[in-house]
Amino acid sequence: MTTQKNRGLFLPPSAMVSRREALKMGALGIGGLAVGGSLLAACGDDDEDVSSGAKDKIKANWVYIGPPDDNGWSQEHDRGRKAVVAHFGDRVETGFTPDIGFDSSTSQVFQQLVDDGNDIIFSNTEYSQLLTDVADANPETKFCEINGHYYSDNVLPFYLAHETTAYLLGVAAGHLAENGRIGYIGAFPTATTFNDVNGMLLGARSVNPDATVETVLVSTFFDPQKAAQAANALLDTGVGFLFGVMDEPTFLQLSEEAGVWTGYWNLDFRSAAPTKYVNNFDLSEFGTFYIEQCQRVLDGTWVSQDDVWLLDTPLGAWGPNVPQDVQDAVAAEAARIDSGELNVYEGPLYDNEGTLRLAEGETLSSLDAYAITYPVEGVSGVSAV
Amino acid sequence: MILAIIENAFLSLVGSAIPASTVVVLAATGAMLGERVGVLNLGQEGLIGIGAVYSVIAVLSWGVQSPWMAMLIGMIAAAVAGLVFAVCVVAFRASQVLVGLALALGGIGLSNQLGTNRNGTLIKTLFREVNPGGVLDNNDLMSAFLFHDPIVYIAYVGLPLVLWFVLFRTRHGMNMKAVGENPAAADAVGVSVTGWRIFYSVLGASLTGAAGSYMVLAFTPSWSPDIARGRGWVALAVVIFAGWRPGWAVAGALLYGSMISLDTTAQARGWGLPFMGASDLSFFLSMLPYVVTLVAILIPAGAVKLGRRVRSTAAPAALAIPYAREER
Repeated sequence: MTTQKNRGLFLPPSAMVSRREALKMGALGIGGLAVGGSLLAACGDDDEDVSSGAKDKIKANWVYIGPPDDNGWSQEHDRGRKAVVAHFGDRVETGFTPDIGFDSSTSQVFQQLVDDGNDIIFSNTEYSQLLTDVADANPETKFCEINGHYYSDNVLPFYLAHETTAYLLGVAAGHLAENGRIGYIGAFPTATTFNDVNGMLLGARSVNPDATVETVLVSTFFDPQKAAQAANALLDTGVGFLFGVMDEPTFLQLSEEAGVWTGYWNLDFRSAAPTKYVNNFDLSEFGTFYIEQCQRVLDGTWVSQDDVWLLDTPLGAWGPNVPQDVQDAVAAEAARIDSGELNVYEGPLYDNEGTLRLAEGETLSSLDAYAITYPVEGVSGVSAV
Repeated sequence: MILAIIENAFLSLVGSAIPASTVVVLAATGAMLGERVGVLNLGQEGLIGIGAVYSVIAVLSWGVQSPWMAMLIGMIAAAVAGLVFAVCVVAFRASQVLVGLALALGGIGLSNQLGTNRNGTLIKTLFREVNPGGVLDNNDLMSAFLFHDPIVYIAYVGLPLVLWFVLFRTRHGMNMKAVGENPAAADAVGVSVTGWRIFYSVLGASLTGAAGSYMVLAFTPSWSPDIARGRGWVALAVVIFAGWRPGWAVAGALLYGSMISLDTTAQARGWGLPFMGASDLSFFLSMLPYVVTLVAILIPAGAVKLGRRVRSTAAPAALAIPYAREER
């Protein structure tokens, strides 16, 4: 009983959704034969040779977990899609499929997009088998899956190297939060959360050795009321900086009301906390990545790789009240990271249950960090998985 | 020292559970109002969405400056949806379960569609907390019950009192209950079953709409899709837990809200269980409100089985049964 099913029946946000609904009704009629895809592929668009060689025109589609105007994650991906449109014009026909959750119809969506003749399909959440089953059955179509963990000839996982961004935000928080206490609203105990809280803690500790990160996990990226309760609970305990991975800005406004410094994950949201805004992750690399992938498909040079493709994730614009010396201190640390002088994860490093995870002299690369499974000492509210 | 910690935790837990539960209190009261006259409206989830989105539209697009007016607009929108529902199930005697499910799904879809382009836009027209004014500072134990916005007091005290008085102390309330328990008898003494059922289910729908409005005008100051996130279904469970009694609905909603508050408060304050890591604890705490809701529903069912208080906890006898005079 998902909402997106139902939404399509009323006023479809895009033609894609109505295609999807049509497919679903068809699938009902033929008793689920659609999943294999071979039957439907036969009645798809005219096949052209997509196995090799350059092309004049390609078709690309973006599959979003939420609406493209969510003021968060999906909106940033759609900004990347628009960058593709601006860059290639007619040469890349783009489309997007919003509000795709996790159920059996998701695979049908991907199959339908393949049958529609898309050369490359991007997803902005990890759909795992719901995507990779379809990818395996359609080796000619390229897939780029964010935060994915499946590597094959036509599936390329990509993600953000955000532990450095979190570190820099942590440096700022270490300066700004007088008590050194950082609150973090997370969704699930995953590498994304660990890299956020670890980066922030290590950044803050570089300024204030007593800094801590206190985490509340709400088991969702998107439940404004729960996010509000988590924010209130953390603000009640007196945190000096509040950050989170939520896909909506409720906690920013609550932070502003409480007079506590805050920041946002996905995009510049200074308007939500006009006086207490610190900074955000800048996700504009999505556009660069998408353009590059489309270019490779056009050139006939697209190949997958054995490692996740990690995108640079700088900090965005500073809030108006962040003092210049804090901005300068963060810029200095950013320069040290860029030059390779500083690594976010440097041993000796203990997790928050006291186990030594990195010995003296050891470091973690961004690729190692992508697979991290533990929070470091000083982080509470979340434990190793 | 320990007392101070307990006091602090109590303040945090109860102080956050009260506003958080208001949505469920309002929706449960709305659902109960309809069910008391025999109309089961499973569309609470959709009505919350409709109430919320119209309040958002009122503020962001129509320039409404007062949260009261924005809430009224949300209530009217939900009442219109409730009227469509009521006409279908009362006048045309369609299945209340089916039309209710359609309203739940349709209401979510409609509100999400109307909310497109308004996602995440912050609302500044908010209900503000009532400051009791110098009598108590907000560190006092009692302050968990104070310093809330006016809707909290209406939902927790005003509405249940009025509803209790009307239901159990007036002839009008007797008629309401008769329409829900034995519509043929009510019909025989000249009560218009159709009219009463439509009126109270529409009134109930507008209260559920107010629950949605409250979400965006007090709790989470912006629209986001699927805003109810299951709270409409919880409200329906709370009505059953409460045995269709207004005061108990408040208790049930507060129980659910406390569990959600416990989730975030326990994590923020580092309360743990010795045999569970913090990551596992977060999953366990997320599950707790629904487990407690389930257990709470079993309590009145168990009471019925044991033969205790059967009269007061059983559902209205004619609940979800369409009434047709010639078929009695």
